[in-house]
Amino acid sequence: MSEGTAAVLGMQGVRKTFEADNAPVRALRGLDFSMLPGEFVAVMGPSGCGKSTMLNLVAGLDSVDEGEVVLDGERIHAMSEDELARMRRRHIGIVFQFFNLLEGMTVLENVALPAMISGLKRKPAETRARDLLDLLGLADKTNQMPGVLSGGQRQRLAIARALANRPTLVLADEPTGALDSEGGQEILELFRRLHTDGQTILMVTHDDDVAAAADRIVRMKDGRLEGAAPSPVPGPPAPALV
Amino acid sequence: MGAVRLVLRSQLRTHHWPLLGLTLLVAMAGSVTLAAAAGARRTASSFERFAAATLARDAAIQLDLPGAVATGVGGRGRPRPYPVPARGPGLAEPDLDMAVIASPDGWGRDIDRGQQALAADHPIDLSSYSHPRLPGNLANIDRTRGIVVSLGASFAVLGAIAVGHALVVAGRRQRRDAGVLRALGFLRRQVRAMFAWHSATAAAVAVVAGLPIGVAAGRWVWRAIVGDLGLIDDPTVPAVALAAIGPLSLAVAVGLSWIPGRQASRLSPSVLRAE
Repeated sequence: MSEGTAAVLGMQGVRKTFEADNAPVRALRGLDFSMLPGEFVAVMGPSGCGKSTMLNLVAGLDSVDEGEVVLDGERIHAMSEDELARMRRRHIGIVFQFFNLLEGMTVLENVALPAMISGLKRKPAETRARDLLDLLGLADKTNQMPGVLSGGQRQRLAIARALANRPTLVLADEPTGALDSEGGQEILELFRRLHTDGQTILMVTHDDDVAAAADRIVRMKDGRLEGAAPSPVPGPPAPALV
Repeated sequence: MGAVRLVLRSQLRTHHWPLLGLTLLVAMAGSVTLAAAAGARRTASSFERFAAATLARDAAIQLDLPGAVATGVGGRGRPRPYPVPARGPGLAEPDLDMAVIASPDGWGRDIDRGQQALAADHPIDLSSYSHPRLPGNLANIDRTRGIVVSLGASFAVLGAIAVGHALVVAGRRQRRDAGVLRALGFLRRQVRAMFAWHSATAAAVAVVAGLPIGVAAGRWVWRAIVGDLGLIDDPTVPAVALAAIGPLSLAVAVGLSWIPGRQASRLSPSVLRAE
């Protein structure tokens, strides 16, 4: 972390325990982590190490038991459910492994929706959505339903939706996990271009090749960070996207 | 509101057919029942008036009082005089005054009030009474009114249960969508509003489409019944009851949406990771 630059995300002493049938599961055991604006960080680790729990806490989808989570200066660990929902509108774009698109909406509506939830009128929200779909190569799909798209196209649509509100932080949860290798590469290239354009991205993955797209890799074990490693293969320069 | 409207439209695109079909069925069944019940009441009531007048005239004939002005009181015991111009063959002389009170059901209860009402209009002594009774088949139909109304109420209750069940099932199907919406920043109350609007819209469409169809079908059924009995149909539409169905249906639909809406709004968006 360079000195003088405020972290966009800070987690300090974060603990989270889930109640399981037989015994409580300590998913996070005093996690400390921070990200600078514009960073692309990949979180890796074995199943059950707590990386998905970490992502959920940053997104405000779950609450911490102990510790602090600060996103863009806002103490999200102390927020109510509705405050977290409003925080997500402003600061968070989520890309899920299985896309989680709204199947009853057209491609355009899926992308326009987050902006409308944030209070934008339909027309400007659709204008922004069209711009994003154009940039992500889905301009000719605006009136189609997500069900007719390929896996790669669906994930690109999910990324467009995640970018609709110009979020402070994009969270990606195994974004290539449901795609074939070609589709996965397509999505990673897209993330690299977003990153080049200054988008802060926090990605969780099992896959070393996918993590290599990030400029910092952190590994988790037993609910804590194991260490950080530099990206082995820096991505090629790409044209500005957003 | 724009976002809720957009989501509502998408929900109606994907999840509305079972709900809409059920609600439509309920509206139609309720209307059929209502129209049949109203038809039964109106026909029985008409017969009472007819019977009162006829028996009054018959009494006048039996008493050898041609030209009597017979007045009947009918209509389920209400002390309401029905002036009957009983001037058929053999009743040609108008100078004899006579009043006959005929009341199918209200004889014992309302005779005094009926007498007073008649006496006020016609300054005469009451000279004869008769006790008209509905013919058996009509009396049976009249008695079925309670059954028909009970049937309608049962339809309404069963329909409400079915719609409630459909909403809960739809809510389960919409569980993932609700999680997505929460992840995108929907507030809990917006999720609840989505369910309420979904339910209310389905009910509104069902009422608008179902009521006219139901009333028409009910009228058709009733016309067929009275035709078989050789009666003259006396059509009526229970306007007040039908007018109440709209707001009542909306209120029930919104009320029923509360449970699945509440369940969905409490769902943690983290459920999306498991799907």
